[in-house]
Amino acid sequence: MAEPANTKPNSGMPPPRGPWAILWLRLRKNKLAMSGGFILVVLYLLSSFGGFIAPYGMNDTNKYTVKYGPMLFGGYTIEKTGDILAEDENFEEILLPSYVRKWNWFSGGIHFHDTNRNFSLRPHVHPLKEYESWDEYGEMEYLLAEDRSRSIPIKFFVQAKEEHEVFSLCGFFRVFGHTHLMGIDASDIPKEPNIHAGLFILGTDILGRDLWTRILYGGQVSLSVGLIGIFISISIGLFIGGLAGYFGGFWDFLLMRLVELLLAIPGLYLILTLRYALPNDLTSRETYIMIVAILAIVGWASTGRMIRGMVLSLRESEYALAARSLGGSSLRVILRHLLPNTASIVIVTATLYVPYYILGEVALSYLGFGITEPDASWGLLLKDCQVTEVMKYNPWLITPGFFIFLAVLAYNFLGDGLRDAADPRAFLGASRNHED
Amino acid sequence: MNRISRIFPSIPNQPPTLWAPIAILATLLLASGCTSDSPPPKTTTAGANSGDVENQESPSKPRVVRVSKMDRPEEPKPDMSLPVGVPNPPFLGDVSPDAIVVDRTGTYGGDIRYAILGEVESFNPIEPKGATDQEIRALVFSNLVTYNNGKWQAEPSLAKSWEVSDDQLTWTFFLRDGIRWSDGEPLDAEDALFTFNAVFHPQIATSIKDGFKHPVTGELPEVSVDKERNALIFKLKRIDSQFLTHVGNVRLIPEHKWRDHLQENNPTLLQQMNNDVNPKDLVGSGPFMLADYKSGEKIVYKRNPYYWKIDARQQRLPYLDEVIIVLVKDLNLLWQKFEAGELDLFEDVPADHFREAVAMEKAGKASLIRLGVSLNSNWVCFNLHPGKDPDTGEPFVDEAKAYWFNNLDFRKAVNHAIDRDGIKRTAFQGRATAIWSSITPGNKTWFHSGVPKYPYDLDKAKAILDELGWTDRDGDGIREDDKGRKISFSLNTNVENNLRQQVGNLISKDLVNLGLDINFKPIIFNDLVTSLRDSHKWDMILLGWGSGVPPDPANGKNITLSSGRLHAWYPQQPEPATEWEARIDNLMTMMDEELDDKVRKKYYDEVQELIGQNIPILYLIAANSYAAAQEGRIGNLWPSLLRPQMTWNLESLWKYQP
Repeated sequence: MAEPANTKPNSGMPPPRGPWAILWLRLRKNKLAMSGGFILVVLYLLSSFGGFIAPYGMNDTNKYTVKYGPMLFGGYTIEKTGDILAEDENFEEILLPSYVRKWNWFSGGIHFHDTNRNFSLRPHVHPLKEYESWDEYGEMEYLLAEDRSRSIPIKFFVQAKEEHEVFSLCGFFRVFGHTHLMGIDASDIPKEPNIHAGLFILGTDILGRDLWTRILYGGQVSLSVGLIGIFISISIGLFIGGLAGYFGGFWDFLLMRLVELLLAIPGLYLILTLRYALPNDLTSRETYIMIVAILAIVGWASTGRMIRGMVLSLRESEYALAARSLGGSSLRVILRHLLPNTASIVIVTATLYVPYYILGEVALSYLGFGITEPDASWGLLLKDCQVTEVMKYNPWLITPGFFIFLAVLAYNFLGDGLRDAADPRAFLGASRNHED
Repeated sequence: MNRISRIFPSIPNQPPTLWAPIAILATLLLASGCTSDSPPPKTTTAGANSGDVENQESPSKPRVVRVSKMDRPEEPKPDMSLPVGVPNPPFLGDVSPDAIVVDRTGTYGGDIRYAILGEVESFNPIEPKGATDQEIRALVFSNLVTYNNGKWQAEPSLAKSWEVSDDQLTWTFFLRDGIRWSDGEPLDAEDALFTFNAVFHPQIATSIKDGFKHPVTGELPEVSVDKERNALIFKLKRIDSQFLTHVGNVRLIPEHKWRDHLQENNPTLLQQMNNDVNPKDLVGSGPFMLADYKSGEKIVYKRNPYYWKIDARQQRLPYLDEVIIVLVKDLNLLWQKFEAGELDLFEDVPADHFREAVAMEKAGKASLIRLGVSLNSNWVCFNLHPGKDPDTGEPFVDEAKAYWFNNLDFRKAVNHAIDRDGIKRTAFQGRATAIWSSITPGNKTWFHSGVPKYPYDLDKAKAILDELGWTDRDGDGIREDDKGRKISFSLNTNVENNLRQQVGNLISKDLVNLGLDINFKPIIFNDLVTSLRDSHKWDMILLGWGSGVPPDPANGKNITLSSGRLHAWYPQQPEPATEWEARIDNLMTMMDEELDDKVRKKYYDEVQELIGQNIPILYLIAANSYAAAQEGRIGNLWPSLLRPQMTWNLESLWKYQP
């Protein structure tokens, strides 16, 4: 009955850990990195189940609810300011009302009382009433404000009339259904003229679409662009870097000059040029794949060079020498012995590079070369903010920017944490500080 | 006098029920205009009482303000008490005995700053290349006949008068005496002859020439000069109602300067006066001369000291010492410059800057001039080209798509399914009007209220398709035609234009509701124009027409005629493809040869009705037009719907001196 020595309970010594376990242990101690990771998990879950969480469909335009403010933060009320004397078609004088609309912070919007002003655990929204407001130049403007005398309950697991996507992984593997996590039941909306209702948590855009819905759907593109892009560029980088580092000499020279060539080209302009060269009759989904491909084709160079450096030094290590002297083919040595040893670095780089892909997609869509209407991406949503008026009068339309900021920051925190954790010179814990 | 008949002078006897709602809307939209020296009445909201809306018995009675209505901005009046000021640099030469007297007053000195989107391609007035070139031509070069944007009519310029023979074929233009070029040389009929010879030169390709060509033979009028009477004589090959417009398109260049560049063979005139011109060489007879040009930055003009118009106090024009045109590429940047006070004028305020403009108006920083419904139209159009690609032998439009698009009932259904009110409320933020023809209600001379209308009615649209047997048989929400093919096609617009992207999105949504499968794809403008004009590889397109000056439909012949290059649904037809297109061609030719505007209007009403009945092109919406000027800076502004909205009378504008 001989037990293997290393499984024998040992006097207080922890069992030896593999490199991945060490990485995880170190990472867990880094609060910033862990919170970054947590935010990312939440964002990816939100966007994957976006169709289910969102109260509306991605392109549910509504001409009555244009540019309504975020209900999470308050609501509009209306005040009558005067009357405009005008003439009707029979040249008789009529009075036309003139209103002014006011935003109320944290009053109205999503609230917790029902029509009878009784407290209710169920959140409610007020129905929205449309007013026609005239000015002294005879121009009419529609103003939408809350009808505070009534409340409509927000219901959970609402069934929508039309089928929509409830789950989607990076825009692929889509599952369809009729259920929304929450929303307003159409039967609760008063059937009166000029009365509309909606659950606009973060407000609506210029076409009256719910911004929160658009952000969730947009995340599917903006968040997955980084993952797919980095997968492609790391694959190319590993292949080219591995070849150049292992074989050296002529191949190294050739491939590294290629890398330098790519690095010397200003990325954004190359992307724009490539985008121009693409055919124009692609659907939005094909465009999306193309953007990922373009970003990856531009983005592999620096990764490739880094891998090449790693492989160059690993090539001379004892185990690589041993593998070669045992008759391993070049391909086997590269794939089985050298590249796996670059894994930690590759993961760190990948995490740190994802934000560039996210920002790249944002820039392309913002400039009109990426995702286009009616699809959504965070960059495209920000496009509405190119106009200064939006910043002044409809500032909630920049919320997609906040989500970009959040995602990029989270990736950077996580990447930094991973880099520290994967650093072979660092010891477990923070003992280096004591040595200093 | 009732107001509506003033707005729609041609249709006073229509039953009011049909057009009254539109009329009242138009009346209300065509609201007050004002010039910067007469600020608008202050707004109602200022100092207004806040009353509870729900409570009708509000304790404080709301103030009543009367709608101030005006058809068009008023002509500015002279003010004899204004200081005269000192022109710097001073005027040279004598006042011509034939000088035009402009009924204005103003103070000399100062500059005006405004911006133009785009870049100068050439200063040469014989062949203006881009839209910018067209617009800046008028500063340096004058024409024989000019167009008054404020009054919407042609008026004399370098020609003091003209005579037409009884057969309408001989036109004699008498030039003013004592006029000088900006270098001091005298200007006479010889210069005019030289210019027209240049335009008519067989080897000089210019779009200006096209208007003079006989529609069938391509012959040009004969030009000669009568030195004794200082007159220019044209002998036409046919009666041309638009001859004055074509003459007005030609801006004179000095013979003494460019004589050597109008060779019989390979004339080099078009290579002159390009955007690398030495400002001294750009000799003209307009109110200003070029002083400095920095590509992509600005154009600076200074006063032409020999200019030949005088004001109500016999002072010579122009009042302004300098004109600075800032060249900007981005509309947002342009607006920001105006908002910061760097620019004096801002033409064509777009819908998404309207609230900022109103805010400036309320703060007393700028005046916003409401000009009414714009003359520019937005439309969608189906590709009806029956041709085949000469390279591949394949049809430009698939057999199935051609089958749908050529079905009039299908186009009717689509027209009924488009919610123009939705487009107005969202993309245009309520400041627009639905249109049913290329002539918008803003063009009071040519607007026709009797064109067929296809108001939004989704049930009706569905019924039309059901009747055709184009129903959804497999339950996927997409209709199939009677041969079982899914009705699926793409809609394109230009990606650079945010507004159009929004409109396109709304339309594709409407058509999805109708049960059609639409792939909406905004693409780059150049690609769009290429596919429209040359490759013909498109299904449905969303674009707009801009209106020319004068706003006469005869100027839109390249759109209306079946042989026109911009005959969107099937351009450059060798023969009119349908009977109604042949009829339209016929009517357009009759319009050209008819001088009575009432008869011409009747002809064009029929053209509009024919297009409305056959709907090869679906007109959608026209935005309201606004112009803004900084408060208390520029005098004598007379804004107009026609472009340029405020700088067309630059010679009589003046700057308030602090």
